[in-house]
Amino acid sequence: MGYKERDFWRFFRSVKLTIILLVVMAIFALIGTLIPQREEAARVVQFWNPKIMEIFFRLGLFDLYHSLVFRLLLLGLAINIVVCSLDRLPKSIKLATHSLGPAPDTVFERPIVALRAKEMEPKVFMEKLKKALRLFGGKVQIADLGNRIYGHSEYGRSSYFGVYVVHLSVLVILIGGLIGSIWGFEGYVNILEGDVIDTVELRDGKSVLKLGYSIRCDEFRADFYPNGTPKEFRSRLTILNDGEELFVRDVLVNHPMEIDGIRFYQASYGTILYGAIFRFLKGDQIIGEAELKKEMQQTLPNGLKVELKDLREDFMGRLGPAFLLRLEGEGLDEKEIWVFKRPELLKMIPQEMKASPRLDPSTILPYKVELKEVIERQYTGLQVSKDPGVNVVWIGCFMMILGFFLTFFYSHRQLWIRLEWDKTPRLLVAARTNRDHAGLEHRVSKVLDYIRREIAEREEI
Amino acid sequence: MITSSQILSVITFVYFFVFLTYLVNQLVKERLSYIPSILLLLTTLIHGIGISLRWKESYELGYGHAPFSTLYESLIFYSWAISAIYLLLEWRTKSTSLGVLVTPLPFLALAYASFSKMNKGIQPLIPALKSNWLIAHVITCFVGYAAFAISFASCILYLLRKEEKNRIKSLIPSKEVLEEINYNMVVIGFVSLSLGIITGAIWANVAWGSYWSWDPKETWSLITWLVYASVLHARLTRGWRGRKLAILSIIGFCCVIFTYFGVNLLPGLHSYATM
Ligand code: HEM
Repeated sequence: MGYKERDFWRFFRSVKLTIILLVVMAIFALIGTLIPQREEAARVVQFWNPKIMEIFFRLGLFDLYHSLVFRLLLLGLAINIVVCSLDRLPKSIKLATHSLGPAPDTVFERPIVALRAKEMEPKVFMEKLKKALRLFGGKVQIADLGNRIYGHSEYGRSSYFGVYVVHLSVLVILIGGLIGSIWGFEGYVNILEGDVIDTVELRDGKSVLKLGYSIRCDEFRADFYPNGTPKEFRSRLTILNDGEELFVRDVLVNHPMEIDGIRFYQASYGTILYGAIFRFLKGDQIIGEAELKKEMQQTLPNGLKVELKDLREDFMGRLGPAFLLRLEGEGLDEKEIWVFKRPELLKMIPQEMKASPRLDPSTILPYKVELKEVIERQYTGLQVSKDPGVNVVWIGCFMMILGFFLTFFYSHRQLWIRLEWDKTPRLLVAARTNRDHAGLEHRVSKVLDYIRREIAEREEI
Repeated sequence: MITSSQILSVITFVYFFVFLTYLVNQLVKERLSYIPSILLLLTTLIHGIGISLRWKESYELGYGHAPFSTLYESLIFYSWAISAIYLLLEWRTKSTSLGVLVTPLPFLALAYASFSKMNKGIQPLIPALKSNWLIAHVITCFVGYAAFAISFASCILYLLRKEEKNRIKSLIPSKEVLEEINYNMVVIGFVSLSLGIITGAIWANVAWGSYWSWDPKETWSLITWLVYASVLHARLTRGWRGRKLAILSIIGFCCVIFTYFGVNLLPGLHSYATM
């Protein structure tokens, strides 16, 4: 390795760097919750000082989680993980494969207990020794060297790799997120009951997705509890291909529909003003009714031409639903007039405005228009998204949990028992672990109970 | 017939009484032996019965859901989880001195739940909350928060504890033991919180169409997670153990509290925000 590479390696190997990166990312995320982000920002900033807004925008403070700095932090963490893992892996492999051999006298230099063994048949002793080792658990090995018998039992060598699984899982999750941000998308579509759509507007606001099939909303239903809390939102959708019905699906909150990797979620609902039924009078004589939707035209029996030119959900934000009609007929030049669902609200606007020709009913005399019925239609709002990285993220999450269990709740534990004959039979017990000494003691004490009961006669000092 | 709300409001005061017994036990040099622990065990059992009863009552009302859907219910479960995990710890370590610092926590949480103006009735579930992932999400998150609460108590005790000076042997566990307790609680909390974030992501993916959307509550749980990840790594680094680590853990618990309550001041998707 050259000089430069060594510096790079040393910098990214450090756990101190990890601590700094984690804390800086935490602070970064914290700032993101204080400054409005993305859609939230778009809504709020109109009340801000434009100069401050400009500075914030230039610095990317309204989209911190997608900013270059945040991505660099993630990249730094990823390099940190890779370098650190590569740096330590050889040592862990050594630890995990290291073996003391069948007869390791070094571990008995500091035994947990030394006991005087009972006199018994070698065969019986062997059985009991095996039983004791099995009580400890793991792989059991026995070595009979004539004057000494060694028993060994161990498990948990994989625990050395738990940390690597955890660290790798962080990388896998980051990669899953990256895949989603490159090849995934999010969009939105409203479908009126009875209508059919075959495109979806994407959230970036620029592009439209062609589905290649069409979706019809047959029905949208909102159910409520008696106290008014929403209970269930359900859209019944029919999927069509070239006008041919393929299948029907119910989409509910928490129960999305998936087609070719694209998922449709029940996200919202509402009604839109669709049209109205109007009644027309000439003097006091009713001359006819017309059911109109936007830009529709009709000619009444007496030759009056009527067209619905425009409609507003809430005229001027306080006057309620309103419809702009264009009239033309015998004794009336072409005129436009706003018709209101709640004409009494017009009192709220000043006199001069009421004099504006399109608000003044007297301009169309001798004709009169009455609003008989407003036609509204319900729509369902579906969120549409595709994220090819999501399964990678789930694999990463699973690895992380697996890694936690290997790291925190599992350990490499070994137990050795040695029987030796000097003048009397003597039993030595030793044990080791790479972590959680309290857990080891607990397990060994179970084995010792058995040994004291079945094999040993008394303690030896 | 006893109702769950009667049990839960009585239990609030019982926790205070249990706290007093732990306090007295410290003052009389542990002459009460295991009496406080037994009292705490009984209290926790009755508390658990109260939660189960509330679950059953929701079925009688026709709503039928696990009692984890409002701020009130989450506080009830949180205080239960703190005392349950603490009992396990006490059983493992055979030391009761942390109880003086831990038992006020369920008392405070329950008192806040009982006396504030929040809605205490059993609410029907709105559509977004009808998911089994939600139950897994709430349980794992709050078990994590509970372990962090005990880590917090051990760190406070760590900072308060003076070095031993060969005087009469103190009842308070040694600094090493407190560090060990803190580490174990951070580990349990970190694993649970990770599970909580993962189950939450799975739920969000099903309900909102995206497993991560940087909603303030999500973001704050990530902040908490990052801080405790740095606690785990700080422990591996020389010069970061001891006092600094205790302070970092306490910062972690401040993040927990903000994730739980503070985020409600910010707008977001989580239902507690509107209650
Ligand atoms: C978000 C990212 C990370 C997470 C979630 C994570 C998680 C963990 C966990 C849970 C442990 C076990 C701690 C213990 O045994 O008490 C650990 C240990 C460790 N981590 Fe990380 N880690 C992350 C990033 C990193 C990075 C970037 C490095 C690079 C230097 C690193 C280096 C280490 C080391 C050296 C250990 C100790 C391994 C051992 O005990 O042999 N970690 N990490």
